[in-house]
Formats: sequence, structure tokens, C-alpha cells
Amino acid sequence: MSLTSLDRWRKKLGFKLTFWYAAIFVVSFVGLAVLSYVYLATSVRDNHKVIEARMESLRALERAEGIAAVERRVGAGRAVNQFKAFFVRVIDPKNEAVFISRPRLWGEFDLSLSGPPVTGAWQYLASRKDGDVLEVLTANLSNGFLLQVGKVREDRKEILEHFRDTIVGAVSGMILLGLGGGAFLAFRAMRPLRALTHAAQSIVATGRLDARVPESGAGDELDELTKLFNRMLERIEASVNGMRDALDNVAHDLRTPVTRLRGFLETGLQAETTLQQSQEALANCAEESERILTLLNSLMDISEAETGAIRLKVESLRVADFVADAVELYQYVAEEKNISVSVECAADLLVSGDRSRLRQVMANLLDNAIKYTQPGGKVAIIGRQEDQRAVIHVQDTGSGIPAEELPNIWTRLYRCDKSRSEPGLGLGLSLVKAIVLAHQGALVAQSTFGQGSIFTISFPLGPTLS
Amino acid sequence: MRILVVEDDKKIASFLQKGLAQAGFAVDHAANGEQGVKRALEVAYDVAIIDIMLPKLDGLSLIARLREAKILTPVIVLSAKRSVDDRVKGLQSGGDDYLTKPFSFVELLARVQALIRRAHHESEPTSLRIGELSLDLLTREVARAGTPIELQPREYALLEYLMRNAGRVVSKTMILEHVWGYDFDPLTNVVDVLVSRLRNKIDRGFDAKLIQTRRGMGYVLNVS
Repeated sequence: MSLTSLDRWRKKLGFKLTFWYAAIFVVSFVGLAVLSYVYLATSVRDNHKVIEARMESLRALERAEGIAAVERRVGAGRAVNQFKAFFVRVIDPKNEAVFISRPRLWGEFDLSLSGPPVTGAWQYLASRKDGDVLEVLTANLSNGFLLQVGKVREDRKEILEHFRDTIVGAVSGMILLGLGGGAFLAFRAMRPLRALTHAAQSIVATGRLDARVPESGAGDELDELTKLFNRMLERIEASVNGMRDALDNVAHDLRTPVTRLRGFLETGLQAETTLQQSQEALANCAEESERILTLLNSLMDISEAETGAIRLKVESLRVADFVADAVELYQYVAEEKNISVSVECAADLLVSGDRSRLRQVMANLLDNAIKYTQPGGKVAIIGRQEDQRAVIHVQDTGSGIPAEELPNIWTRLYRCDKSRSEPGLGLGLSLVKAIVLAHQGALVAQSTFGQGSIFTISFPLGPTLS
Repeated sequence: MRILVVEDDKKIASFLQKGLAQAGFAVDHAANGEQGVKRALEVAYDVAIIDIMLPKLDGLSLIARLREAKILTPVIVLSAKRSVDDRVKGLQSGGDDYLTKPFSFVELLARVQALIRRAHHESEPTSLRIGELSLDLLTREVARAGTPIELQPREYALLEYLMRNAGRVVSKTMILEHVWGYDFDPLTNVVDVLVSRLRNKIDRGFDAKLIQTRRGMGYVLNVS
């Protein structure tokens, strides 16, 4: 494994989880072992100290009450297990044992007195049978008597060493166990993450946005993340599909004028055309290209507004002003069609917005209202404050929109009645919607088929002019 | 009047050259930014038409170089982007202008002529007179062959604009911009409606129809 791949592997979450799990596991185990060791070390006390303590108590007894008291004490002590594990011997000045007390099964030690034992020094007597060692201490009593106290070494060192060996042996096992457990836990914990990664990878690789990560339903954080990821995918899928549809529609809508353009061009290029016919054809081409440009501009406006790429020159605007602008723009159009346009707008109603864009919104709404209203009809614009919002209603007495068509009117390139002779790109209302939403506004369309429609747009109230 | 066209697209450059030459201008063409700088340093042009996307040296840098060299030739910037770049605005020195592609040649011509008029500080007339049609800019009185004509404000604005550009085609976009100050295409043709109203007032009862439609291009006020 090269260094970089090792480095990459080290950065993996699964590795980190395993590592930390194993580390915590082993550290806790070692901590526990150290505690046990200390406890063991203090509880298995030093043999010498035990013997010395006994020796002192017996010498004190001898000084106070004489040798007989020592014998009595040891004898009585053996009965109550106090001296059961001890070897006690009193030796007279002639190097003869006058008293001896030893555990019954201590035959394996050579306890013979070959010469006078050295006082104050330790004697180690090896067992003839096994490796046990009897540690004996000799001390002076009064009148040249000697007292020996001994005890089989409970091999504290060995116990501790053995304990240590066991622990060390166990630690390597524990590390393996910790790593194994950690890896297992990490593997399990990472499973939803792996599924998520896998789904994301397959989406990246195939470009298919309909793939979803299976949700565990456990309700934990990872499940939440999975759900969120799926919801994000849904949103992306919807918006990509929306864009694809829009592009299809644009392509479709461009096809018609481009086909016409080509038709006019071919007509003009025919050998037998007169100058007048050629010019007619060219004029048609110019008109057609104008239409294509308008279509493209509207589509660009909508996409810019929808994707937030639109640059709004936001200023404080009087609603009455841009409403009046739009009405003025359509004044003659309405007059020609004998439609009366009335405006009733609160003079002090303010919004924050882009003047040009809001004029465009009003112009499109008015355009729509006039277009679908029969001659002699009425269009009313009402601007007023409602519930802390600046609300503009555009009401017409036009043909209205069938209820089933109502949800579709904001859709790009949608035309209610395909056979309608009114010209239009079907982009006006989607442009209105995009611009209004870009202004943090809201919009509603209500309509009664055959009686007319009310388009309502509302914006947050603008700052009051100081 | 001499115009410099800096444009790398051969077809666009060619139709600009032809069109401007037809309108009576002497036209020089540069196919890239560096060549453009060279030309502009050699000859004092009245107007320069400069594309933003150019090989070797982009249009904005070209303009910056000219301004550094104290060449204050008014510039019309051509841009393929619809929204005008802030940098273009930053470079605008009073007389400069911009157009977005695709543009109508008629409009480009009108802007070129406007820049030249402005650069030459032509004195503002107090009245306009085209044939038997007269318009008083001070009293806002309009008359044809001595007969006063009542016009509503927008009709008056349209007539004034047409008269100022008499003999030249003005596009619907230009009318929208000059008469209403709108910079987007309304869906219903409000311009057509306004023009037909004005036509009714100006041309009704006269044999010579002054306002003519140039299909696919716009409208023109006949001079003769």
C-alpha cells in the first residue's frame, strides 16, 4: 500500500471509528488491569514483613513473660489458625530445639540444625519436593536462646509476574477484540452512509436522478440524513425535469417560427420571384426573427428570475406610480378595444422593488386582462394594503379560465385555449410569476369561467418614505 | 464622417460596412482589438462601433486604451449579453452607448447619428418642420398644411421622435424606449396602436401618407 493510499485510508470514517473504538476499549482494559495489579500487589503483602511482625510480637512476649508464654501463644495460635501457616522454633544455647511448631505437611523442608543459625539474617530453605521456599528469620531471645520464625514464601513476585504476563497476553487479545468489535460497529454504523454514497455515486455515474437511497425508518440521524438526501434528489429531479421540459417547449416553440422563417426565405429565393415578392418575403423574415427574439428574451427573463440570476435594482416604489405607468402604456390599446380601465390605488402604498420589472409585471397582467376581455368589458385595478402587505388586484370581465385550467396558467408556454386566435407566447404569466417571486411576493388567480378573472399579486410593504 | 468598426465576425462586419457606407459614412474595419487600437491611434474617427468579444484584445480593454491615449471618440459597444455589463457602464464617457446583439441596423444607425449630433453640439431647434408638417417644441403645437392637429401626450412624443428621425426607419423597440421609456417588449403591440392613432390624425384626408410602415423593421416619416 503506497503512502498516499494509506493516507487516504486513514482518513476514512470507518477506519477512524474502528481506531477510536479499539483505542477506548484497550485503554479501559489496561486501566482496569493496572487497578487490579495495584490491588493485588497491596493485598499479597511482602512475606518478610509478615514474618518480622510475628517475630517482634513473640520477642515482646518472651521479654515480658518468658519462653513458656511464647510456647503457649504459638500452641494456642495454631488452634485458632493464627500460627498455622508459620514455622516457629526456639533454640537453646546448646543449639538444641526446645520448641518447634510447623504446619503438618512441611516435611519436605530440611529443618535440621547443623550449626547455630545467624541471627538477623534470612535463611532460605528449598523444598525437597517442589520449588517452594521457606523463609526463616532468626533472632536472639534472652539468656542465649534463639527464636526462629518462618513462612513459606507465597511467591508474591511470581504471582505478580504471572498476573502481569496474563495481562500482557490479554492486552494483545483485547486489541484484536477491540479492533474487531470496532470494525464490526463501524461497518454497521456506516452501512446507511455507504448506501448513501453508493446511491450518489450511481447517480453521478449514470446521470439518473430517479435513484433513491433506501430509508431504514429507524428515525435516527442517519435515517434523517437519508430522507433529506432523497428529498434533495426529488427537488433536483423536479427542477431538472422542469428545465428539460422548458427546453423541449422552447425548442418546440422555436421550431414553428424558424420553420416559417425558412419558408419565407425559400419563397424569396425562388428564381421567378419579382422584386416586390422578394421584399415581402424579406419583411416576413424580419418579423419572424423579431418574434423569435422576443420569445428568447422572455424565456431568458423567466429563467433569470426563477434561478435568482436576475439583477434587481431595488428601490422604494409607489405602487400607484408603476400601476399608472402600465395603464398609460395600454391606454390606447384599451380604448381601441372599447374596454374601460379603472384604477383605484392607495397613494401612500409603497413596495421595495425594481421599477422596470414591476412595470413589466403590471403590463403583462394588464395585457392579459385586456386580451381576454370582450369589447365593452371592464378591467379594474385595485391597489391597497391588506394584512401588512401591498396587494394589487387586476380584475377583468373577460372570458375567465375554466377551473381545471387554472393551476396551469403559470406554466411556461401554456395556452388555455390552443385554438384561440389571440397572439401570445404563453409566457406572460410565467414571467409575472417569476418576477413576483423574485420580489418575495405572492400571487393568486381566481376565475369564474365566463364571468372573468381576478389576478392578485402581493408584496411585503416597502419602507415608508421619510 | 468616418466610422471605425471593430468586429471579428466577418458577416456582421460586412453588413455594418455596407449599411454605414450606404448611409454616407466612410467606414474602416478592424478584425481584432489590437488592430482596432492601431487604427484609432492613426485616424481621428467620429464614432467607433466596438464588439466586446474580440480576439487579441477585448472591446472593453480596447476602449480603456483609447481613453488612456486621450482619444475621446464616442463609442457604441456591441454586446451579446442581454444585460448590460456594469463595466460597460463604468467605461461610458458621456456620449457612449451600447447595443445588444441581435440588433437592428436601423437602430444602430439612429444611435450613430445621435452620437454624432451630440458630439457636434448641434443646437437644439425650437421647432421641427418636415414638408407641410410642423411641430413647435415650445408650445407643443402641431399643424399639417396650416391645419392645427390636437395630439395627446404620447402621440405628440411619437410624432416628435419620428420627425427628429425623419426619413429614417425607427423600430418598435426604439419607439417604446423613447415614447414610454420601456426597455422590454410588451406582449400586445401597443406601438402599432399608437402609430395607427397618430396616423389617423396626421394622414387622414391627405393624399400623401407621411407615416409609413416598413414591415419587419418599423416606421418611417417620409421626407418628400
